[in-house]
Amino acid sequence: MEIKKTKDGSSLKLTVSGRLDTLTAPQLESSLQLEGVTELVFDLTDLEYVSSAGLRVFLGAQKKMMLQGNMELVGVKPIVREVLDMTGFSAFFTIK
Amino acid sequence: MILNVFRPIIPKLVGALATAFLLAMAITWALFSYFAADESKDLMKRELDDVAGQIEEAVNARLIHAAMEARERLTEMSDHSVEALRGLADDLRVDEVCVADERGVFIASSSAEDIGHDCHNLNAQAAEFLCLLNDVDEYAQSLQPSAIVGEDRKYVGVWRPEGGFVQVGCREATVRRLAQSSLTGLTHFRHIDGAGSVVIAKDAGEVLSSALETRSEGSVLQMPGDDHHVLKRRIEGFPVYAFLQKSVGARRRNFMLAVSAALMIVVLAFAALFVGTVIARFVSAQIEKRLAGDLELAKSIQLSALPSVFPPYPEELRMDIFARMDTAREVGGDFYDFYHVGRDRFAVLIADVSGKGVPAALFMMRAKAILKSCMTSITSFEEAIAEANTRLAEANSANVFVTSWIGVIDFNAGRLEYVNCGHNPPCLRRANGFVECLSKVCGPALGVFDKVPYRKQEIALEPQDLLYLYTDGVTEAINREEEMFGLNRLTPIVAAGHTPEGLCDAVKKEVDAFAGEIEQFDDITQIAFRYRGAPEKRERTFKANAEALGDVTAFVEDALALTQCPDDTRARLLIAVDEITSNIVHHSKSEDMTVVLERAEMPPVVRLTFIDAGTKWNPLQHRDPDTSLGAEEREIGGLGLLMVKKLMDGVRYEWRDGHNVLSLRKNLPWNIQG
Repeated sequence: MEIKKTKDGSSLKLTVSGRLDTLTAPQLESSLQLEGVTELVFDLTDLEYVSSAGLRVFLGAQKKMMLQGNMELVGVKPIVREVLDMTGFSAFFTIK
Repeated sequence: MILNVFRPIIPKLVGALATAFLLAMAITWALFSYFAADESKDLMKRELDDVAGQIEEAVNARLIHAAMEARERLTEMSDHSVEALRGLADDLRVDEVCVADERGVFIASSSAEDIGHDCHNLNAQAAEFLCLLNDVDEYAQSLQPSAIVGEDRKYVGVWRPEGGFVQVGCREATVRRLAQSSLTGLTHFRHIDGAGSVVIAKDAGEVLSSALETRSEGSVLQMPGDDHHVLKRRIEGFPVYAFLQKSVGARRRNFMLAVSAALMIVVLAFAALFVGTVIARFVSAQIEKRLAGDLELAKSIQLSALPSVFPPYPEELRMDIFARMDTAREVGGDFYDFYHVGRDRFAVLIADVSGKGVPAALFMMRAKAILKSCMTSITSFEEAIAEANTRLAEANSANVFVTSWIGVIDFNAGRLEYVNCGHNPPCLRRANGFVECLSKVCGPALGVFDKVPYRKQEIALEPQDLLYLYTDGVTEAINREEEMFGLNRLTPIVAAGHTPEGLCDAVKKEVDAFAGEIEQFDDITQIAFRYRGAPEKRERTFKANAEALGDVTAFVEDALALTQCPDDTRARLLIAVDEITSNIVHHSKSEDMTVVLERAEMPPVVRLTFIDAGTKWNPLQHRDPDTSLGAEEREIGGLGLLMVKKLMDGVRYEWRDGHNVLSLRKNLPWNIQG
């Protein structure tokens, strides 16, 4: 998994590629510094798949961002979308 | 069937009909007896009326004659004194002689007190004779109580040419004495109703005239006994009897009774027939309704006893099986079954219980259970069949039997062993497309003779060989021309290369098309079994630690690389691998874990099996998290398992030999060939 961070003022964009699973999720979690961030965007265009460990990171980020701004998922592939749907996460994520 | 329902009430029905009949006959008897007696008496009365007329006529003639004689003698007599008239009365042997003048006043009489009385105001009896002063020549009164003399008298009168009339009066005894000779033989041949008689007697009981013979006249009257109706009347002083045997009326009554009995029997028979038919129709409708419900229930119980979820063993990659039973309207005795007998052997059987209806369905349930119990508990195939047969033959009072074909497939050896117990031999479609019929050699049907040995036969199976089992409902289906569907129509369908499910459906469709509107009369039962061969299989054991996560993923990915697995399917599998592996690593406390990856081509399927020796834990019993909660309330626990269940096509857990064995099945798309 690779993570590319783009910070522009109070907005943070994380481009995640590869696989987000038990092995790689801690890596994403540690790269999430959200102090002062009001706009958080995950670009998932090149994400192969996400397991529950990855969802856990997204959920943590969502909980934080609900207090300080917005969070968006963009470039969601069908298989990722499917996982979000089956777990009910798509209901409270902003997906574009 | 209907008769059985009626049998218990037949005695009651007959009893009721007999009672009704007897009661009706008793009433008819009483009525007819009354009518017969009444009619007899009526006949006697009419006869007596007739005879009374004749007697009166005879008696009147005799007395009128005496009156005319008196009139003649009076013209000759100059002395009309009381004494002279008394002498005349004596001469004529009557009791009174009187003469009235043209005014109706008695001018002479044998009794002095009459003289001077005017008939106009004497009494009504006397006044009747005034008609003689006009145009009437003679007048007779019947014997009646006389107002003057105070006893019964009979008076007759004749007119006198010189005016007035001459009257003669007689006492009863006198009338009898004068008239009895005129009455002798008066009732000869007078039979009442062809049998009875009228008898005129003198007062003393002497017979004057009877119906029978003149001989009896003069004899003493014999009164008949109780067997006669007797009617007595006194006419002009003569006792007149009418006798009629009661048996005459009884005979008529009996005849009428017999006729009405016959009529009543006919009427009752028709009534019983009609009521019976109506009841029978009603009852049979009720029975049919209930029976139809019962049969429907029996049919559904029978069907539910057969394995009907396909694929029945999703994790069993070495075969592919499909079965269907299309029952006829009437519940039949077809059944099929299949199950593992040991790890690498699989039994498939099809059977047809003789007969139809509930008995066949019951026997079918028993046969199915016995076969399964023998097949799974007795190692030797032949002995298992022999034992099942013996158990079915014992306690088979109904002499029901089961034709059956039982096959056992050895997956590893690629071999089919089978025993045919009087059933149609199945078809075998070889991988190269040729269809052959298995050997027709067979033993007796199950349940016929006990302690019969059964011989198994063997044939080698190649991967993709397909075994097609069917009952005679397929080959013996008929069309409107009474032709049978037959093997010739069946074989090409088997050869057509369908999947097991496709084959069964195609055969049913063809049979339906063939039969047209002819109703299916027998169950149509089919099983298609395809041998897939031993699957491609990879297996590796990992240390259950943090590194395992990457190693297991790499192992699975490596194996999948050979299969041209589509990306999203691979992603699904890898998510599942991640979830299950991390679960085992973090929670099982097992040191090792084994991952088995199997795949089969027909149909393309991947099976992943995770085996660990850790804490016994069935993930399928774990409650799924609530996916409808908001972000704040959501916990991450359990989510992974939920995803696995949703991403895979089948998940199965087993606790086997101290190990958690979790199998995941994922179907691959058909167009991908490995």
